[in-house]
Amino acid sequence: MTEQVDTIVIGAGAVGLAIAREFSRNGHEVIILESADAIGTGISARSSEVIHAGIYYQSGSLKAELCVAGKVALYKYCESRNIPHRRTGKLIVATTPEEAPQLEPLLQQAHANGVTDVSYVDGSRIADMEPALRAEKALLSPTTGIIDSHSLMHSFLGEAEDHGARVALRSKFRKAEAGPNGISVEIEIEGGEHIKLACRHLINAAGHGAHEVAGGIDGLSPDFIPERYLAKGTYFLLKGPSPFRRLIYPVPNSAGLGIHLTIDLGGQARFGPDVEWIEREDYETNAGRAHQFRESIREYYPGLGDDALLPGYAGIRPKIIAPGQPPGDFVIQGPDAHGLDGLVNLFGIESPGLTSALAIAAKVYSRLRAE
Amino acid sequence: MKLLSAAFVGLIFVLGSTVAGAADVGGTSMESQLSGANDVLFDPTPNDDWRIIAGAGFGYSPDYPGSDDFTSNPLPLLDAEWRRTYFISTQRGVGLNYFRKRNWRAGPRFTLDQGRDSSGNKALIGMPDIDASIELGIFFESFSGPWRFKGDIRRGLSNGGHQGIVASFDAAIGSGLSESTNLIAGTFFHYADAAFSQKYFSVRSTESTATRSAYTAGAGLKDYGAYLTFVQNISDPVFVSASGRFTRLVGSAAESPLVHANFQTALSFIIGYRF
Ligand SMILES: Cc1cc2nc3c(=O)[nH]c(=O)nc-3n(C[C@H](O)[C@H](O)[C@H](O)COP(=O)(O)OP(=O)(O)OC[C@H]3O[C@@H](n4cnc5c(N)ncnc54)[C@H](O)[C@@H]3O)c2cc1C
Repeated sequence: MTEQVDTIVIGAGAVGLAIAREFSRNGHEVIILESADAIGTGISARSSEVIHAGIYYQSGSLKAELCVAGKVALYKYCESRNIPHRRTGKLIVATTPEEAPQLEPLLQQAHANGVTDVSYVDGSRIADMEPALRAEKALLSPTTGIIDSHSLMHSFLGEAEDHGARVALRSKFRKAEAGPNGISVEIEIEGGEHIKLACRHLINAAGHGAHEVAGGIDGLSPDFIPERYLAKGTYFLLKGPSPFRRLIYPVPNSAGLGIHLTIDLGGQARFGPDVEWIEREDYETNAGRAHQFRESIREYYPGLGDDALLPGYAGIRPKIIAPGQPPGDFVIQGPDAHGLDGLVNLFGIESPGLTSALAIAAKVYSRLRAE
Repeated sequence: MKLLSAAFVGLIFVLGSTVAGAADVGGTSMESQLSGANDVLFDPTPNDDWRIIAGAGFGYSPDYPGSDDFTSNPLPLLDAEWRRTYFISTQRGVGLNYFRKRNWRAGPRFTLDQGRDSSGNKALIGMPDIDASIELGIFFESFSGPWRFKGDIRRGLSNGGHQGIVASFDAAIGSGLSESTNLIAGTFFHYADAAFSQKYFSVRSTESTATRSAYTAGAGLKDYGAYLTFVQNISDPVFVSASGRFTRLVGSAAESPLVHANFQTALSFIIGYRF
């Protein structure tokens, strides 16, 4: 007799854990499957740890909606649970008069997304705010901040567990099929043994593994599985104290937000991520990229020393849009889309997925409740 | 009585090392727990006899070298020496007092570096475990009045464990506060080569994350510190001991992103029996 649970969440990253918390708080029995031997070792371990304001994303997109809602929810969450975080504020800088007009559409987009506190700052004020910064003009986003993402994930898990959820580490989702008792899920546990669980709700929040998971769900048409692309982003650390108090972003480019400066909660400044399209997951940090970094960074931070960059780490964005295409949206696919009761697939949960985690969780919950 | 209390002074060095060593940083090696039983000077047992000390207790120390989380664990104590020549000890390892003079001794020995279990601490998520490693080394120990000096140099031999070289120096003074209470105060230094430092303190780029950047540790002075140990004789063969050890990680080890606290404190308690 296969054991029955209410909800299985695949993936113990920031998003999967937020979903597990949401379902368990609402009285559902939850099991989180995680193939790694610890939580939060996937995409969530290698982000910029920025709480995004919601400026860039196209109006009406899930990214815009969930980032703005997620940011508000996340600040509230961090304050009430003492999760280390800080509202640092952020400057998006145009370094030349030619770049300055590119700020206006960003301001308009921010306002359209409901981020109405974003405003212009001119050169002389910028010099007062951040003396080391070279900028012609900038946008100031006061609600952008930073967060300790591991503390956040542990808090999500702790709260989910308090409501009865359990996490199964070293437990890899293999396949699933819909049956009379709901969805039957086959799991590979340590030692290669396979076990079966039946559930009413199956949520695929497997990050880079989401496509493979979806491919193992019997009855899910491949039409609902988007293409998978990987865009690696390398970070370099800045030797010595941070010359900036706020996060500093150049105007964005087609695949990412440009090589920006973020500060972690320990005060360490780091630059990145850049964009490198790759075929296979590979987290090697290539020190040779320092040269390109230096050139980009000096556009807004001319004081950067020749030996000031140290290799940091690399993250990989789970893209579902090919290189050169406009940035895609999050895909949160419920039964209304694919027709399989109880199943939600999440694809392309790249930035601002961390900021949006609580709002994504609420969205997934509402999709299944609407069934 | 005089002999016994003299033996006890020797014994407290065993204990001083035992309890203080419970909190050794940088490889949780037995080396720093090397006992300094001053048996050459004080041990009243005849030459051909076994001298055995056994006991148990618990220690409270950082999860791993550089951790800001603490863990408590049981501390077994066994220190057996045959004809003052061969020894087997949870503190000193397995070895031979090849040179054995009135106030010093030296020789080869095997010790065990206990490695690191990376699964237990969130700062080590995604870092590999470090297996235990058998180490081969040479040690010396000398006594002068209330003073004891000791040191060693050793190399890890096991695949999966560290295969580096570590050297140590330790100086301690023992004094009797009363008939049955003794105090040891000591100071120590550790040097580690690049192979050891990289095993324990480097982060390869594939292991790096937002909270743990890539880092290559190098050779150099790894830590120094001090310890203080009280030994209380309860009855003739039975004693209890409490110790605090304070270690400062320095140099390349201290700068590792795995190190969240440069200043490491450890406490331990032991109850023991001398056969
Ligand atoms: C370089 C970079 C920078 C970023 N910066 C930011 C930022 O500053 N702010 C922000 O808001 N967002 C940022 N993001 C986005 C954010 O990090 C992600 O959106 C978020 O972490 C995704 O979380 P997740 O839970 O979906 O994925 P993951 O964290 O990858 O979790 C998925 C989990 O599923 C597990 N898994 C996979 N397959 C299986 C299987 N078959 N069975 C069981 N388990 C499985 C994996 O082991 C993994 O632990 C950034 C992303 C990148 C790549």
